[in-house]
Amino acid sequence: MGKVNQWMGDLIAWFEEWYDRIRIAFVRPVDVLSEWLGDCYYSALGTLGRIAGRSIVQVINGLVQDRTEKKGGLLLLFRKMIGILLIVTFWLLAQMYISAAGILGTLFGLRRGKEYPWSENFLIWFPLIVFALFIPKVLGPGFAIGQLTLLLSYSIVVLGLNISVGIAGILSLAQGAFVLIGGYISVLLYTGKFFGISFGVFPAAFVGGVGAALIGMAIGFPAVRVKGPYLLLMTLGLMLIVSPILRSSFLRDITGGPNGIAFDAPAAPKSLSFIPQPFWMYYHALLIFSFMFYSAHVIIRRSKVGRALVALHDAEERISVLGISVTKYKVMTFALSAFYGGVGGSVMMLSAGFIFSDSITQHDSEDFLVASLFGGRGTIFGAVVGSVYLVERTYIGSWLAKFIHNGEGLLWMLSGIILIVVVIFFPRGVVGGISHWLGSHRIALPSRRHHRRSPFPDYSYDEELLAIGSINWSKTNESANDAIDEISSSRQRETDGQGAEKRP
Amino acid sequence: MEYYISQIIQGIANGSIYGLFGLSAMFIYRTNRVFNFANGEMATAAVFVIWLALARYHPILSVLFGILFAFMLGAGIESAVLKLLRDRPEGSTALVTIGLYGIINNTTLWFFGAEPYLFPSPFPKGVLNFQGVIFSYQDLGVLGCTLFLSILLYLLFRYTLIGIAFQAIAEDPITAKLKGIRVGVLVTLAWGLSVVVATLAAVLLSNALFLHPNLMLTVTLFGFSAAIIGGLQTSFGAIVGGIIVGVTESVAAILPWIGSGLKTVAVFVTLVLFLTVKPRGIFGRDEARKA
Repeated sequence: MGKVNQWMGDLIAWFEEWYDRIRIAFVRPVDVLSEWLGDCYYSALGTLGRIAGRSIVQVINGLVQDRTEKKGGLLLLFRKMIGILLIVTFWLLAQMYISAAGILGTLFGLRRGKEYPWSENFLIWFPLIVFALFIPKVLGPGFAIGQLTLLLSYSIVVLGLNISVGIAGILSLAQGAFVLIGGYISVLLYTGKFFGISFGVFPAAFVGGVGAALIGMAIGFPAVRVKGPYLLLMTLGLMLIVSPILRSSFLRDITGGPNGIAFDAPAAPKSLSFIPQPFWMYYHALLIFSFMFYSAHVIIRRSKVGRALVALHDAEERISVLGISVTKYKVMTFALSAFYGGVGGSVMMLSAGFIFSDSITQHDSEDFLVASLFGGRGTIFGAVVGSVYLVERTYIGSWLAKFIHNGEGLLWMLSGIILIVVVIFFPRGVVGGISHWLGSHRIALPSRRHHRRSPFPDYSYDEELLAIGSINWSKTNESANDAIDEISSSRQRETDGQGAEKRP
Repeated sequence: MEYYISQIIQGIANGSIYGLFGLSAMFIYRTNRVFNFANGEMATAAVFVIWLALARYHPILSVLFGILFAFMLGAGIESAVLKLLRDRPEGSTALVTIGLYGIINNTTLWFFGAEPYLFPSPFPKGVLNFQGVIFSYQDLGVLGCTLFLSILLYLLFRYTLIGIAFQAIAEDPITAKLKGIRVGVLVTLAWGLSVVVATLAAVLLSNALFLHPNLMLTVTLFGFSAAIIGGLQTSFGAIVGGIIVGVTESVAAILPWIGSGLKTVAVFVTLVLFLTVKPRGIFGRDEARKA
């Protein structure tokens, strides 16, 4: 036995020695290399950013920083080439990320046709993503980039609301509650205050979203039994009870109650320390944003679930006769919307570095609904348009204060006016209205594929179907019939597939 | 034990106010199919008018001023905004009233600020001690007032021509129109009347809760819960629902494992239970079967 022990000891010592060698030989250069590569990436960002935004640069000349001016020669060229390569790699990675979202969509239901998730609407996605990647370089690590991060997180939240309001017709004032729940879960995970382990930004945001979705599912089962104004009341009640629960004696130790939790917002690790903290959080928010938006697009537009939701909104009785569970899909929508709210709230709270039990009030919750309706219910891109209002409302308030005494307090009045005007006069919202207007000025094609030719082909799903409430639904039954036909035929295909081997 | 009984009596008194508020909301819902989330805010604005008038005039005169203001506010908003929304689904009109809620709440906040004001109580101070069970005069007065108002409203709906016209509109607006009832005018009247009732409820509450712009926020939730629990059909149901809500609230506030911080949660859970188990409410009839 003694010999065996000795061999084991030798083996362990050998491993330890080689571990040290590998660490010294490999990890240190990786550290150095990553720093160097980051520098390359950065310099190329600067060059491309200058080329792409020369006119913008002239406008905001004072804001532009030139890190590359001082260096020159062949090394600079080399660095720029490497940097461009890195950007292409980053772009490909983002596309892989996006196609992962496509796979998620396939899990939710069948995808129609043989559309390839990458290439579609390349012309819209590519400039948007490039613009989003370069804008930090133009703006600099200041206040504006924090506002952009806020815009991205608000967009995720409003997108979730758009799914439930626009597509399934579930009016909800509880989105703020899900934002708060998701934000709290992710902050607790990130700071490691509750579980002992500190999570990264992505896992924390994901788990925060899942937690919010579970709460949404729990509240969804009673909520699907009621409709319209009853649902509004119930969701308002949910919003009103979340802060008292967070402040209550059971949770005060964990959540910090009204004093909240203050922490250091996520910053880049040491090897990437040349990236300023706001940029680091912005890129995280951007990746989460693109993932969420693409998966929403896939789920709504290409999956069976999306078609079921549209049909659910349009002809509830008929699809329940077809044997499709109304409760299942409604609860699924509620949970999905809560998931988006939770993820958006996580990004919002993590980048803010502070959270307390009244971070989101019922006024904010109402504003999320206003933003969703303003941007265009049921449209994907409308979420971004609506969140511009959410970000800008404080500036609108300080602008009002110049003319009116105590004018910054008039914001809720403004959102109330926007809500009323939108509901009465522009029920389609901005994006829905524009695409409807452009669509109605086109020569009507006999095929129903002409909907896809609108300038926002990716974002406006079926504007005829999506503007709920104020539109006469009997006109749109044709599209609902199409959706129902597709669902029933896909169910037919599924049942046929079980006996497929019998067919020739 | 006596303490619990006193708390329950206080809950009944508060709950009757919630029931009164729920009754006003239910009245609009029955005649106009609108869930008026702005009802409480209009009432708060009217209470502020009463509070301003109290400094100069006799209390009864100022309450009359407030009632006039509330009637004009309700009727004016109905004819200015809600008339644009004829034949829209309930969801849209509810959204518009949420917008109105924001506007009116913000206006009162802008005029009067966020700090709470002391609103004088119409009832004498002090308590009535009956073998250890404590009745405060405030609660007794509130109970008497709500009882009086409910009986008045019952008589109005049951025995006057205009009340029967309201009932006809609630049952079937198209047939009512064919019979020569002027539905549009009566709906405007209903809004005014409903805001007046809500204002009286708010006056009864504002001594205990202090007068501030967000006075009626939780009361709106409680009042609607009362109306839904009662079935959104009869005024008696709304008052019973209100008493259920009020007793739940005050009992939850004194139970050691719930506490006063979580009493809203207890009411919300009651509402969710009712919506899940019996969405039609206690006294609600099946309207589809009747038609």
